[in-house]
Amino acid sequence: MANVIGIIGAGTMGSGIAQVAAVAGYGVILYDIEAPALDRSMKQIENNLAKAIEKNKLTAAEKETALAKIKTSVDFSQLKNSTTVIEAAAERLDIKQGIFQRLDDLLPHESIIATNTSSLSVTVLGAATRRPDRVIGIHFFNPAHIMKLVEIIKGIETSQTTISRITSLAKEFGKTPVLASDTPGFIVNRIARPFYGEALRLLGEGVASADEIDRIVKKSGGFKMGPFELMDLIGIDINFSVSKSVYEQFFHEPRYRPHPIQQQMVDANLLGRKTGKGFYEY
Amino acid sequence: MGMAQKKRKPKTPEKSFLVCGDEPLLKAFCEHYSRADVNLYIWHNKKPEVSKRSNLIYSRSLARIPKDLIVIFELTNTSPAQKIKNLEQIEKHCAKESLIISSSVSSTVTAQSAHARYPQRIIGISAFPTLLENDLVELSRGPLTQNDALKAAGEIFFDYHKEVSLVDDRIGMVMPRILCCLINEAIFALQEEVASTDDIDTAMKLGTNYPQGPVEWGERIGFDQVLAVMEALHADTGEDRYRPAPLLRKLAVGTILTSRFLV
Repeated sequence: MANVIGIIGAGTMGSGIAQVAAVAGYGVILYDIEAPALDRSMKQIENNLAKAIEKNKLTAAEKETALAKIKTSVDFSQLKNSTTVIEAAAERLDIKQGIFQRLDDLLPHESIIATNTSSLSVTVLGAATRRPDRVIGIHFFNPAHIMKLVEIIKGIETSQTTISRITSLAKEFGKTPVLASDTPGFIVNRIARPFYGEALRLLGEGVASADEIDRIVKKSGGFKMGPFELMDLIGIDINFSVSKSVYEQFFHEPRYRPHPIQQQMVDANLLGRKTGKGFYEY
Repeated sequence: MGMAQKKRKPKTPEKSFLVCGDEPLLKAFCEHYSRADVNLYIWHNKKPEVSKRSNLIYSRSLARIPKDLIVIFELTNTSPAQKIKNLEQIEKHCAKESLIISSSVSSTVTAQSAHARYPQRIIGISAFPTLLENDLVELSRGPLTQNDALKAAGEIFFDYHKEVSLVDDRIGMVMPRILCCLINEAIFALQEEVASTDDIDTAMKLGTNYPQGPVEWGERIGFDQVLAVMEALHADTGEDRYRPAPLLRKLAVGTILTSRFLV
């Protein structure tokens, strides 16, 4: 049987993952509950591939081959021949649990069910199936077709075989996989917390202004972006919700405590670049 | 005899600076000033391994160092008690007009000033290993620091192609505080077996574009330096968020042992 990758959810992440899989030569079934989402997704993939041609990273023929590998569907049962399904649906536990139960019923015994979650527990999703040893996290970073990093997350029941298979798959996708245990924020979203948290505290305590902190972090620390410009880019609301999620999941460990400045910015709808104003004006 | 004296004698009428404190910082300053038009006196209990340059002059004893120094860099982060001792000796020996630029990442200028005879010339600096390689240093002032002293400190760094940023006098200032908290968090994750050292470093470089992975960065800085900042932040604020990871304490002992036995 051919190696087919099923992908659930045709949002930004699902589209990026479908593109990466197709370029790597895999047949892809891209599923979404809404047909228009699938159309938008294919347009996004075409645009991305066209940009790759402009940058001489891809030929026109390779683009066509990749596009031909992707089949879209609003019919869940079309995923039935997938050797691996990567779920990239909305970041809500009840939605994902429902999907995992349906996949468990639909897929062959050996197939792996992977989730692209950035904040939910892989172990909890595994428990929604009868195959927790073949449930794993594969966390891509946005934009998925560009960012090299993939976090592979092992739930407490995930088997070594599943880890090896997903790690190989990530490498074939041209990614650099790292292995993390199933703990809140995994690696990046956890260890990066102080970058924002301490910067917010320094601002709140009046040690320096936001633009001065950014200048220091770039020129003294050698970081490409300062914490405040980065929060503006990510979206202050998104960053705040990740902070809250990690804080809650660690049962209020004080190292992860969000800062009132974040709440206030969100309350004022000053969310960063996307609203034209955050810590800076755009 | 004549030769030896000739070697040691500073070329007049050049400027003379003095540097003392933690060895990695001493070395960074020596590297920085090795090509500059100043005599840099190094006051330390043993001769640090630095490039052989005629303008870098080592002395074990303060008595052999001229009194009319333009600026004294006191760069002890790992022992606030040692820093106070050094500052006391410096104030006894050197002219009261000499500028004192003192690292203020594990103790504030305010705290250091409490012990000083002439606190008006003390300026805080974010002296921290690896950060000194970069283009900007943070400065801070105590309650009695005079504007002239601050201006002079700024000019000294400007002369050597560094930008300065004046921040409030707080433990860790800006960059060392953020960086040490990042490294401490990475060490907590390592201790909890969230991922391997290499995977943590790879993830932070590729996932968030950090210039170095937090664990390798901590190793280059010296975990004893990171621990000193975390302990000082913890003591200063009383907040558990700054408690050092138990593994960080162990790694710090490793750094100390390595520097003592493997140099």
